[in-house]
Amino acid sequence: MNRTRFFSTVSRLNRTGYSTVEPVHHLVPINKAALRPGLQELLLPKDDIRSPGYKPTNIGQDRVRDYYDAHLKSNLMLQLYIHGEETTDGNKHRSWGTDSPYKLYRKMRKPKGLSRATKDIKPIAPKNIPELTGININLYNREALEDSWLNISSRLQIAQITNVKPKRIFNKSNIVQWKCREGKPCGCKVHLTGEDMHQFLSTLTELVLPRIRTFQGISKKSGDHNGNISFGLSPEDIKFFPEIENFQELFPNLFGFHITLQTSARTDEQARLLLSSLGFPFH
Amino acid sequence: MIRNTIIRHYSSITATPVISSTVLLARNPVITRDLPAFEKSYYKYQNELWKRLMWTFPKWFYYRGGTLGDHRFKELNKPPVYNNPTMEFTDGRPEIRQSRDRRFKQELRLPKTYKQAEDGSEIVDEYSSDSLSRKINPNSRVTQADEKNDTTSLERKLSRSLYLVISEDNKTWTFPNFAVSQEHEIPLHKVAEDGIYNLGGQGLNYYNVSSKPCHVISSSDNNEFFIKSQIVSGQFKPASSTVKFMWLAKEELPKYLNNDYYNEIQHLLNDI
Repeated sequence: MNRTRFFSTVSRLNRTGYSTVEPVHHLVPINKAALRPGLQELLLPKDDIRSPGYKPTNIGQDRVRDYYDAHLKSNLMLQLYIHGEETTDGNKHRSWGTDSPYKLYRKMRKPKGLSRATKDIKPIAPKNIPELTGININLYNREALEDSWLNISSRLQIAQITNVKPKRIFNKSNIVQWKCREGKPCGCKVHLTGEDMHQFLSTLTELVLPRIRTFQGISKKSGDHNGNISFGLSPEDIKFFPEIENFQELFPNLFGFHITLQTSARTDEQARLLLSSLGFPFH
Repeated sequence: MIRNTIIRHYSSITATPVISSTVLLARNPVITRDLPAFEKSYYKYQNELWKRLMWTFPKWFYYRGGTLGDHRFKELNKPPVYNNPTMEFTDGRPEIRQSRDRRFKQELRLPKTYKQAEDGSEIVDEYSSDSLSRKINPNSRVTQADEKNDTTSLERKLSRSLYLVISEDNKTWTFPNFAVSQEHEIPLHKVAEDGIYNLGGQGLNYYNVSSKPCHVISSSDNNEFFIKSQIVSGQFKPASSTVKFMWLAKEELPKYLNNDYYNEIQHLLNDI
């Protein structure tokens, strides 16, 4: 045990409530009330059967998963394989040099040519075949800045389409011309994985996109250099979702949203190859 | 053009190694795979559990009170037994919330878009065959080709991958195999493509998955490369009447192929 330095031992011994427990000083703030044993089960994920909010996830056959595992994976491996390929280093943040202490502690220099770093591209192997890891839906509702009740409509619309409860998003900055106020709710977002993601994907590629007259395909320019492809749908396109189409009188206000298809591909070309075999056209 | 793989594979003639290109022409499954009994019961259990834990259907949102839809919904869904405080319930007191007994899963019967008979079957009238609101009846998973066991049909075994095998003498069956000529430097996938079109006619729409071969069997006198390809549409119709062909699933292939040869390439074939 550490020796504690006392300036006056007498006063401390005379004090009535003397604690023998050493105080713990955390470097990160911890909400100790949330560490109560009674609340432990609330920390469990929702697909754990011990969780109070348990919801079964494998409730049926997932045909997109079956198709990917049985057919797509081996085909992608064959298509992306390059004989004798070696790891290509990505565009990383650079050092300013070590000749001065100021440079040593300075924030890393930006990558060459690009504003954002890219990953290393490793040779294709069974463990790094590109895969669809998630779909992110982001709905920024500009109309809700004036009529805040439209936030509810936008969340309801996304929940209806995706079967997942969306999170609210808030304005981050004050821009007077656009009536943006910091902290004001302005739409919603949702992250889809697993069965919900595959359900959304097949609805989109089989029922919605083929019915949009002006849709030619996802732009080839889309992508963040790291294998994530984004595109947007306008309020007119949302009408084609069967969940909305059959209850049109319940959804008088429809809002467009952005969809980001997140893949484990290292480059956008690989991601496009994966997504086009999952049924997304590109132009 | 068609080479007998088995004879070549076990021949002892020592000559300059020949390069040949073999096409694994597959028809992908058209429908979802057949589930094993265990998987089926697992999904059924999880599905029932999900329904049991399900939130109450928001009837007040989808069928507003006083509307025609609300009337139709109420006709189909009778409210559960009323929790009468003066009554004694032998098998537990009902826990009614939003006209659902929360002790059990909620079983919903939604109004249909077509006219229904008492037993739930559709009443067919003269307009219903081309109406958008007609009942959707899925086609059978078993086709006529399955019943007749017509191995030349592409419409057999819809839930499985089928592979093309051919034979000249109706005894030895192989995958289509084409020799690469030594003089003209034509790439392997091109040889496979031209060979398939010469053999099976132009009415075939297919593509090579990749120009790279997926496997090679090397022996002293032959290097046999495998090109993976998939049929998209059309039919395989052999130009010469001597060539017989079959579309076979993975488990049917060992009956027709040489045993050692099948063991060498079985990992290339799809189980589904």
